[in-house]
This record gives sequence, structure tokens and C-alpha cells, in this order.
Amino acid sequence: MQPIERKLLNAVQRDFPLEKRPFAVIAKRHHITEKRCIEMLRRLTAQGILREIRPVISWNRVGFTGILIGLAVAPDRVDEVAAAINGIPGVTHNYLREGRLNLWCTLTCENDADGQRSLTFMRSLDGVADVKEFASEKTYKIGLVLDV
Amino acid sequence: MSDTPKEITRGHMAVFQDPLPLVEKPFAAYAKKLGITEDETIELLRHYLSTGVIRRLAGVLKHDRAGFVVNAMVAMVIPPGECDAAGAVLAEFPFITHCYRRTAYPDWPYTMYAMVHAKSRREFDGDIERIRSSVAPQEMAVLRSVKEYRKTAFRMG
Repeated sequence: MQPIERKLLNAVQRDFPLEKRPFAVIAKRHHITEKRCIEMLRRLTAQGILREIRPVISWNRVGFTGILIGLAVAPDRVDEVAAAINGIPGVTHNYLREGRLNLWCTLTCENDADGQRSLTFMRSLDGVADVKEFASEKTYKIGLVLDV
Repeated sequence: MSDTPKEITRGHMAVFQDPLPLVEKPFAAYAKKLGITEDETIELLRHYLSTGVIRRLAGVLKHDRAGFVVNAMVAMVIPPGECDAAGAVLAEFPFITHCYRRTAYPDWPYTMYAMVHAKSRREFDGDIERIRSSVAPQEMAVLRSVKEYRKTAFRMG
């Protein structure tokens, strides 16, 4: 990555301008043209470095609940279990990790019944020995900003 | 401005859940779907940012592609009365992006969870050591990411 690309990535992670032409504002701060700024961000997106620029919504403020779920899955079944979990609507993150609970996913659902149904489904999958729900009791940081 | 009724807010979020297009006038796409002007769209975004329904308007990176190749969920046993103090310390570390207190179980006693992102194994080991020395958890499990099966933003159906 070029230094200017790093600077742009750091810039768009914070203080995105609420202006009709926000990329012109960012471009001016970095002494490049609006066109070049947009082109670079498009290229960083195409390369998969920048996922997207978006409003990050607090879904819990409009009636949804997010939960973290940790599963203990037999190593030879983990790909199949992960694929089945990805088929549940509202599963946004799903990671294989080191540890006794080795598959971790986040589920956003509209009501408790939907959440419990999804947990029951996970418990029924072949190779799953344990499913634990980790409700968030207090949030200390939701940052998402990383200097590249 | 007062809080908007939930059903109206949901209608707005159905539009704002889309990524911002990388074009000269990116807010025009939202404006068109909402049937309002670009200025009104920007005002609406400003409103939801001020009430916290929209947390941020910002670029979201793909960690590993952006150079953060070592990622882990770090689970810690911190006594209940010390969680707030530990949470405040952990939140200050730039290498921690998320930190929560969560439900514990008899066979999984961890109460604090922090997501750690590092550019190298060496940097990562240093980060873990800083966590250990600053909040002194009774127990600590470092659950490194091995494989990503999914990472996406939630969307309403």
C-alpha cells in the first residue's frame, strides 16, 4: 500500500464528512483530487482491504438483539457445522478459534423465540458437544478503528 | 430533535443499511430511495448520529487484508467488582477494538472479552503481555482466529 492509501484508510475510518461531496472534502485534506480519492477508495475496495463505507447501525435501538454464541465442535465436523450456522438468518460473524469452545458466531435476532430456535438448531447439529450463549452485560468499547 | 417512532426509524434503517456508493455524490442514492433531498438525507443522518441509532458513518476494513494478520478474542476472569475498572483500562488500548462484560458459566468462567488485532505475532505477544500486566486477570484464554467463515454487517430482511 502507498502512504496516501494508508492515510485515506485511516481518514475514512473516522470523521467521515457529512457533506454533499464528502470525497472532495477528504481529497482536499490530503492534497489530491476528488477523482483520485474516489478511484483509490474503489481500488482498495476491489482489493478487499476496505470492506465498505457505511452507517454503522445500533440495531438494538430498533428492536433487535445481538448475541455471541460459543460452540464446542468436533474438529472433523467444523466446516459442516459452520456452513449450517451460516444458513441461519441473522448470523453476521462466524469464526473458528483456538480453545475448547472453538466455533464462535454472532446472531442478531428480533425476539427471544427466534434466538432460542437458532440455539436449538445449533445443538441438534452432528458434532456439536456444547452451545453457550454469551449475553453482553456491559459494553466497554466498540471501536472498529484501526490505524493501518 | 426528539426520538423518531420505531417503525419510522426502521424504515429509514432499511435504506441506511446499504453501503455508501463510491461516487461524487454518495448521499444521492439514499435520498432517491427515501424520496427526499440530499440535504434532508444528510440532516436525517446527522439526527440518527446524534441519537446514537447510527453509531458512526465510516469505512470498515477487512482486518487481515489491511495487515492485521493475528486476531484473537481474549477471555478473562475478572472479579465482578473489578470489571468496570478493568474495562476502562482495556478500552484505552488501541489494539483492542471491542470489549464487553458477558455471562459466565461454571465450566467457562470468563467475564471479560476483548478483541485484539495485531500486525505480527511479535506485536500480538506484546499486546497480550500488556493486557496481562495492566488488568492482572485471574485466568486468561487467548482464542486466536483460525478461520473466518463469515463476517458481514447485519441486514434487515
